[in-house]
Amino acid sequence: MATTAPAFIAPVQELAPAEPRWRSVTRRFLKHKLAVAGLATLLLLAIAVYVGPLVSPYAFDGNDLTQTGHWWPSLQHWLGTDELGRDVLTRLLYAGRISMTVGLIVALLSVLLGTLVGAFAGYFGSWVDAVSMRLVDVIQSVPLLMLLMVLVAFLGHDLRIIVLVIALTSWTGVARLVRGEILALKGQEFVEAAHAVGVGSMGQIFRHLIPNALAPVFVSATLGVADAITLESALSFLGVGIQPPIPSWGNLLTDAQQYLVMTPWLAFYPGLLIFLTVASINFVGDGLRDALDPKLKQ
Amino acid sequence: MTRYLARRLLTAVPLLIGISALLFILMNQVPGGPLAVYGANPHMHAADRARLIHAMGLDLPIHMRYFKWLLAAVQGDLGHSIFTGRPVLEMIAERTPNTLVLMGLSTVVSLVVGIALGVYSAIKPYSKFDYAATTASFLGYSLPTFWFGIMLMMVFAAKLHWLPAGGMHSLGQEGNWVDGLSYLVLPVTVLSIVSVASWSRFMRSSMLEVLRADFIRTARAKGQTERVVIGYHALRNALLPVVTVVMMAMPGLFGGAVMTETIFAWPGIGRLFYDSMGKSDYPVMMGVLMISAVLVVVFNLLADVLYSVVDPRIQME
Amino acid sequence: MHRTPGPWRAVLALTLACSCLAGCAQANAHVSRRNASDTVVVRSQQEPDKLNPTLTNAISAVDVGTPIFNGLVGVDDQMHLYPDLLTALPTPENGMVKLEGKGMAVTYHLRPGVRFHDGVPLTSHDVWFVWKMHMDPKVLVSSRDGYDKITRIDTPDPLTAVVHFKEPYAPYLGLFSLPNDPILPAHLLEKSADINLDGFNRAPVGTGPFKFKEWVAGDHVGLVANPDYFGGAPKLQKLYFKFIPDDNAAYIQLANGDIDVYADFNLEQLQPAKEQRTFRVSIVPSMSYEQISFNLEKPLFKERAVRVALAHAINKDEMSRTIYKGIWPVAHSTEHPLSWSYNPKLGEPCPYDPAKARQLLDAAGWKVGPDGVRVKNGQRLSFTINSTAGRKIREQAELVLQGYFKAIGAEMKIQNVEGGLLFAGYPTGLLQGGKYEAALFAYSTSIDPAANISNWHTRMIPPEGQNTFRFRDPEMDRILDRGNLELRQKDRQPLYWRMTEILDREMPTIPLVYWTETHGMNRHLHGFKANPTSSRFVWNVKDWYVDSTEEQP
Repeated sequence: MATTAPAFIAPVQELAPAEPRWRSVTRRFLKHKLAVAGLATLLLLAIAVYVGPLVSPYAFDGNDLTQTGHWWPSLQHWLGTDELGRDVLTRLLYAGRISMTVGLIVALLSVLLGTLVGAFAGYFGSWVDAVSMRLVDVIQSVPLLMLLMVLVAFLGHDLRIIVLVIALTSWTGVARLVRGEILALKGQEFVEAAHAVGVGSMGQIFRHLIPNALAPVFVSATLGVADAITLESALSFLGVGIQPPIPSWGNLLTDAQQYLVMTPWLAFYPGLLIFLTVASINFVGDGLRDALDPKLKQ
Repeated sequence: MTRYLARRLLTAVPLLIGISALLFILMNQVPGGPLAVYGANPHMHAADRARLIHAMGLDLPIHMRYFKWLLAAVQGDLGHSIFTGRPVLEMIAERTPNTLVLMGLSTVVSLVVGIALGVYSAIKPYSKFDYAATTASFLGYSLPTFWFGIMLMMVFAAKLHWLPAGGMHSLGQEGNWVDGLSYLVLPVTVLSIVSVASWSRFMRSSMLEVLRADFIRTARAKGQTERVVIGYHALRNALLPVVTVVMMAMPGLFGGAVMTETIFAWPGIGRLFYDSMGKSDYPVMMGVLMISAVLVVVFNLLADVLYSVVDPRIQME
Repeated sequence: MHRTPGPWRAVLALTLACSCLAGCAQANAHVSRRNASDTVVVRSQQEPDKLNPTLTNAISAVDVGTPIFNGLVGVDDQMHLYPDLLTALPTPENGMVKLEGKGMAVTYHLRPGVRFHDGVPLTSHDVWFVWKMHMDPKVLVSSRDGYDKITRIDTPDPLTAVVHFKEPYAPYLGLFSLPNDPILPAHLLEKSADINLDGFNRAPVGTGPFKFKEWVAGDHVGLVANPDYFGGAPKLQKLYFKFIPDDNAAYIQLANGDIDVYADFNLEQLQPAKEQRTFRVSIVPSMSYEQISFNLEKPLFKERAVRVALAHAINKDEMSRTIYKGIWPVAHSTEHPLSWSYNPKLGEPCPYDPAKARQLLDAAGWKVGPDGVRVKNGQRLSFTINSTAGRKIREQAELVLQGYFKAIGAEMKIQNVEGGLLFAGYPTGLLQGGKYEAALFAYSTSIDPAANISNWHTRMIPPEGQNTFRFRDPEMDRILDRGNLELRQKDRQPLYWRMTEILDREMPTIPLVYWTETHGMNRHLHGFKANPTSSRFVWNVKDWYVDSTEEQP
C-alpha cells in the first residue's frame, strides 16, 4: 500500500464537498416544494423576530397600565395589548427571537458535542466507545422531559442554564449517528490509506472522517433546532423554563393560559408561531435529507 | 444466544446503578427539599425543622441515604412517599393502568393510521395522496402538544360541550365504558396525531424497500394478484422492522405524557411525577424514573432479540 | 381514497379550533346542574397527600378534612370563636382559665353524646392524645407551637380535660382545633406502629358532619352524610372533592355543571364569569396579604430613608385596581382589618407620593447618577427582588413595581426562583438564610396576633424563627413577649396597636394588598358562607343545600 501513496490522495479530495455536488444538492432541494415553502416561511419568521422588535415603537417590557384592556387589534396595537398594557405583537416577536436563538444555540451545542463524542467513540473503540455509549444509554433511559425537569430544578432557571441543560440531554442521537457513520467509514480504503501515510488520529478524525459524515449530521442539526424550540416551550409551559420578564413563546403561552376563558386568541398566537416554525424546520430538514443523500430518497 | 443475553443483562446492572446514583444525588440536592412546602409558617421554629428533617431521615449523609435506598430497591422496596406515607410501588401501581389505557390506545390509533398511510403512500409514491399524507403527518408531528390540547379543550369542551374537559370518568360512572371513552377522545387525539408521522414515514420507507425486492417481483411474475402481493408478501415483510421500532417505543408508554396528563387531568404516571416534583417527594420521583429506566433496558434487549428472531441474518455477538 | 385520512382530521380540527376560538369566551346558558340534588362536587386543585390534617400542610387536605373532623373551638365567617366540641369557650371571665403559679390551667368541658363515625364516644382521653401525638418525635407534625408549653393534661372524667401550661399562653383557643389540629380518635391511632404510615391517613374517622367513603387515586375523594352528627344531620347526602389541576378545565366544568364549587377562583377568570348564568362568584376577605420584605442586614436597607422612600413610590391603588382586578383591597397594615389587633385609627403610613420619596432620598444624600439611578458614596440604589417563579400575578406586580421605583431613581432587578428555594429552611433558603435583598410574597395572618412574635422578635431571627427581615427593636421584643402572656384581649389590644406603630415607622415590610377568597359556585347551591380564616369555605358545609327547582333566569 505504501508504494501507491499518491493514488489514494485522490479519493480523499473527491469526497470533500466540491462545487458540482453543492449545486446538485441545491437543485434537488429546490425541487422539494414543501422544503422551499418551509425555508421561505422560516426566513420570513426570522426576519420578523430579529428585525421586528427593532422597528416596533414599543419595548417588549414596556408596561403601561394606561394601555390595558385593548384586547382587540387596532392601528396602534396590531394584536392588541396584554394585561400590563404591553404591545402583544412586539412581545410575540421578541419572544420568537429568544425561542429561535435558544433553538439555534442548543442545536449547535448538541451537534458539536454529539459529533465529537460519536467520532471519538467510533474511531477509538474499546473503552472510549464503551464509556461514551453507556453515557448515551444513561441519558436515553430516562424520559427526556422528566430528566430535564430534574436538571432544571437542580441548576436553576437562568436562560443560559436552560440552553445548556437542553443541549446536554439532546446530543445522544447525533452521537449514535456519527459513531455509526465513522464505524462504516473506518474500514474504507481512504482512511486506511491516510493512516498508512502517517496521518495522526486527530487528523484522521477531523480531516477525513467527520467531513464525510457531515451530511446526516447537518440534517439532524436542522431538526434539532425544531426539537429544542419544542422542548424549551414545553419546559416554559410547565413553569420550569425561561422565566418572565424574558418572554419566550413557551412562557407567553403559559401567560395566555391564565386568560384562556376570556381572551383565548392570546394563547393562539404563540402556539401558532411555535407550530409554524417547527413545521417549517421539519420540512426544510426533510428537504435537506433528500437533497444531501439521494440514496435515502425512495 | 443465552450467553449474549446473560452478558447484556449483566452490563445493564452497572448502567442502572449509575442512573440511580446520578438521579438520586441530583434530586436530593435540589434546593429547598421536602420541607419547603411549609413555606414561611410562623408557627415553625428551628427545632421543628430539625425534628422533621430527622424524622424524614434527611439528616443522613447523601451516600448513606443512597445506599439505604439502593439496598431496599434491589429487594423490590422503593420506599414510602414522604408526603402520603404510602409505599411508592403501590402509588405507581394504581396509576399504571390509567397511563397504559391512555398511552396504549394512542399508540394503537397512531400505529393503525400511520401504517395505513405509510402503505398507501408506498404503493403510490409521489402521488397526490403521498404528498398530502406526508405533509399532513409532518404538520401533525410539529404541533406542540400542550397548545393543541388546550385548543381542542376550548373548542370541544368549552364551546361545543361535546366532550368533557378533563378527568377520567364522570362521578359514579366508573364502570361505564362509553362514559370513559368520551374522556379519552381528546387526549388520545392529541397524542396520536403527534406520533402518526413517525410511523407513517417509517412504514413508507420500509414498504418501498420491500416492494423493490426480488421476491415481490417473483410473486408478481407467478401471476399472484396485486392484493395478495401487497397485502400478504410485501406488508408482512415490511412490518418486521416496524415491530422492532414499536418495541423500542414501549417503555415510553409507562412514563406517560406529562403534558397531556396535566392538561387533561388524567391521573397517570406523568402527572404523579409532576405533582411529586412540585413537593420534592424524592422517593416517588426516583420510583417513576427507575421503573422507566428498567423498562427501557428490558425492551431494548427484547427488541434486539426479536430482531434476530424475525431476521435470521442478524447474528448476536 | 374516499375516507379522510387521520392527519386531515387534525387539520380539520385545527381549522375548527381557529374558527371557534373567538366565540369560546361566550357564556352558555343551556347547561344547568348535572349532579343529583343531594350531591355537591367541589373542585380541589391538588390531590391531598393524607386525610389527617395534623400530618399535612396541604390546603387540599385541610379542605377535605374539615367536614370530617371537629376541633374544640371553631371560627365562624365573622371571625368569632364558638365552642365546637365544647359546651362553652374557656375564658378567664368564666373561670375556666386560671393562672397557677408561673403557669396557667385551662378547663375544657366536652359536649356530651358526641360519637366518632365508628360509634365510639368522644372522651377527654382523645384530647390528651392529640397533645401526645404532637410531642411524639417520630410523628411528622409541622409545628408544636403551644403544645410544647403544655406540662400535663388531667382527665378527671370522660368529658373534662384540664390542660396545664408552664406559662400563660394567650392564643390557647387556637389549640386542639381545625384547620390542623382537630380531635382524632385515640382508640384508632394510639396503637399504631407508625402514625405517619397508618391506613387511617387514607380512610379517616372523625366526628364531623360527613363520613369518609372512598378515595379514588388521582380522581376524587367521596364523603357521605353523617346522620348522627351532633350538630344535626347535613342537608346533603354526598360530598365529592374532584381533583382538577388546571384552572381552565375547572372553569369549564363549573360552567358545564360537572362541578358545583370551584374554590379559589382564578382572578383572571372573574371578567368572563360575570357573563355566566350557570354559576355565581362569592368574594370574601382572606387573612393573607401580599407584601415586600426587606432584608435589614443588607447595607442598602439598613437605611430607613430608603425603605420609607420606596414605600412612598408605590401606587397601591393603581396596583389594586389593575393587577389585582379591584378585588384585592389595598393593605396598610400587617394586621387584618377584621382582626381586633388592627388599629383603625392609624391611616396609611406612607401614601403614594413620588415627590416626597425623591425628597427623602435627596435629603439622605442619594444623588441621581448619569443612568437615572441614584448613587451615594459609590453605592447605587439598586437591588434585586426575589419571588416565587410561576405565579403570574407576582410577576406582573414586580414589573409594575419596577416602574414605580425607576421613577424615583431606584433600580429593581427581578429574579424569581422556585418556591422551594425561596422558602427552604436555614441556611439554604433565600429568606431563612438571609440571602436576599427584597422579596415579594404573602404572609398569612392567624386569627390571633400572637404569631407575630415569630416574625418580629429579635430572638426569632433565623435559624430560630421567621424573622427573615432581621428586624431588631428592643421595644418590639418587649411588646411581643407581653402579648403572649396577657390573657385578656383588652389588655393585649394596645400592645399590638403599638406593634403596628413601630412597623409603620420602620417599614421592614411594605404591605401591598390583602388577598380575597373568590369561590365560584353553581347558582342552585345555597348556604355557602366562605370563612376568611383557614377554615375556608368548607367550615359550614353541613348547611349547604341544592334547590334546582328555581327558574332559570
